[in-house]
Amino acid sequence: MKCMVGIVLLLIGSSVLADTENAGERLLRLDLDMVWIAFAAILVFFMQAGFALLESGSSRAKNAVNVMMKNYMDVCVGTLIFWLVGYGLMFGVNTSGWFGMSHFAMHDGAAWDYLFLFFQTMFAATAITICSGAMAERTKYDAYLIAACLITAVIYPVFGSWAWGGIHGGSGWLADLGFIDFAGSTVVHSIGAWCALAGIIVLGPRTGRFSKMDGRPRTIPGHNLTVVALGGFILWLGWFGFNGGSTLAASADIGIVLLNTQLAAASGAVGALLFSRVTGRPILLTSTINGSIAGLVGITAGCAVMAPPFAVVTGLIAGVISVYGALWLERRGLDDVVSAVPVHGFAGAWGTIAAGLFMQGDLWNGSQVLVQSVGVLAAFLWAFPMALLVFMAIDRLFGLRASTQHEQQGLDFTEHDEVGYPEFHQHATYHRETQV
Amino acid sequence: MNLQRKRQVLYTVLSTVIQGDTLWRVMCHWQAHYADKAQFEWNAFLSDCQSMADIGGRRTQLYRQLIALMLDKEAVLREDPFCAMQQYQKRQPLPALKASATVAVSGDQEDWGPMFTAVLQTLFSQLRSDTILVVKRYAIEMAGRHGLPSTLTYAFTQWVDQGKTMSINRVPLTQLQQLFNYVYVALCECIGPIMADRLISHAVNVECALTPSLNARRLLG
Repeated sequence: MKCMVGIVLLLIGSSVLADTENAGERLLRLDLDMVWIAFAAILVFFMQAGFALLESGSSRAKNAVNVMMKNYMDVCVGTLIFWLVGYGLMFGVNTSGWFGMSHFAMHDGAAWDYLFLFFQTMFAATAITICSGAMAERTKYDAYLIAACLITAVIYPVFGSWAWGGIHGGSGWLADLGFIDFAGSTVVHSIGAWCALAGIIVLGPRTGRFSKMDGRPRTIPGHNLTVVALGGFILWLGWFGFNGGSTLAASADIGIVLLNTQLAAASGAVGALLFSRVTGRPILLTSTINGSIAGLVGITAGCAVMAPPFAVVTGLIAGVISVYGALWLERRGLDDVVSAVPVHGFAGAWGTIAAGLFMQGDLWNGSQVLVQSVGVLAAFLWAFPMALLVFMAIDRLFGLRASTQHEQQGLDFTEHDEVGYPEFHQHATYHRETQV
Repeated sequence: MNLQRKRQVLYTVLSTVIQGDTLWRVMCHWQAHYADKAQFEWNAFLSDCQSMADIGGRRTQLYRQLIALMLDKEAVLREDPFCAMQQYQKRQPLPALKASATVAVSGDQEDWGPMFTAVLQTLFSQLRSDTILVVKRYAIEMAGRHGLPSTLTYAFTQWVDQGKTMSINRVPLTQLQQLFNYVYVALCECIGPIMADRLISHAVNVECALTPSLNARRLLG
């Protein structure tokens, strides 16, 4: 009898011990997940520096500070607005399938909720910062910031709720259809790009960008291509957090996600290079960097569901799209300073469709491609007209475009009263009263 | 007669009576206030310098020499003293800064017409004739559309078409800045914004060096 009791006690004891061990393991896993997501969020934050350098270097010296300021304030206003409104609309309880209705200005969540909000804030900042590059060198600073607030508060999170919503309950209608956008080719990048497209249409091109005589485009080179290249490298680095962190867990899946990210970036640059070579165009640094960024944008949707060879194909085609898309826009008289629309919009749309085409174990699935196409179309039909409305309203109310006098002097001086390169300023474009 | 030759003529004549910093000071005064004026106004220039014994006592003689040299196309002139004048100005940081501060305070009370003309002269000298035509047409059209005074537009047209002196005395600086901006926009459309920035910057820098008492950059707005 004593022996039987002993065996039972031993069994109970070992079961309790096993439960304790499992709980400990789960806690450790949660901790690891959180550390990984926190690290990934920090990497995504670093992408803002990449965008700032890339966009600033692509602009003329007299607008360098203005572009930097827009990128900087994108993060600041984006963070506040997304915390206040955006997160609730995007990830709050989504019973209708169209937008979330809880977790506004979140202040009493679990540890994981805070981290997830932090991670997603970086994504929101990325989406709006895409506009600043396209609209550089001729946009009023205050007007731009108002637009950035509205994009973060409404346009970005509402579409986000369709594809990713329902973390806290319910789900979005696109997600219900089976739409795949792992880290945001469409949700983040295309949405940002369609807003940018609306912005550059309302703004019009920079003075002198297209010849008045024959409409031919005229190149306005950036003031510092070294900085552009550094920006490209930083963006590439940050993308490992962007895609890798979207696993939302420190799991073995990170391996394929990171490898696909790297392959697509590399093949994007090669795609841009090959296209330039085949069509007899010069191999530009800016095109090459844009090619790799297009590859990164392209793979963002399907990096977790594709085999590596298809990541290469996705990146390669995205690279070609980035160069061809820039030429296509130019032919239509649209002035996109950093080619944000082809790189983030066109390549993002392609990447989202590629995620359906090249899904591992379910290649060339027509119905999945259809769902992906619906998602791409929905993104355009939502973001572009809404952004057009926003920019037109701002233009009417406050004026979106800087005056030609300000364009002449440079927005660094007229908007911020400081210049990026006071010692090396070669060209007198403004006058400042000197106090003696 | 172009600006450089006028400067050479003046230098050749004045260097026979004054030397050193006195010479450069007088040359800079001429550059600042008389370079773009008609030749008969050189008499007024010599009057400005009459307090100097070496000039005041022989004004008539110097004036005749100047006119004779200007008319004589074969005359051997001394080299252009422009670089030496710039060096002289660089050695005078305090007076130059004081002068610009005075300008900043007095603002629109200064007559910016000559400076405006001088900057445009330097700018247009670097342009092709067909570009000048397009720039002129655009600037005049915009000036009319935005309500700039017709006298200013007319003077600008006359200057471009017939090379007449732009008689735009006492036109407010803001109006000149506006007209200058239309010229900039037209230049951007014709030759591209990068080249436009370069040419305008060059023209402004040249005039800043020649006329430190009136900051040509103020025309930029």
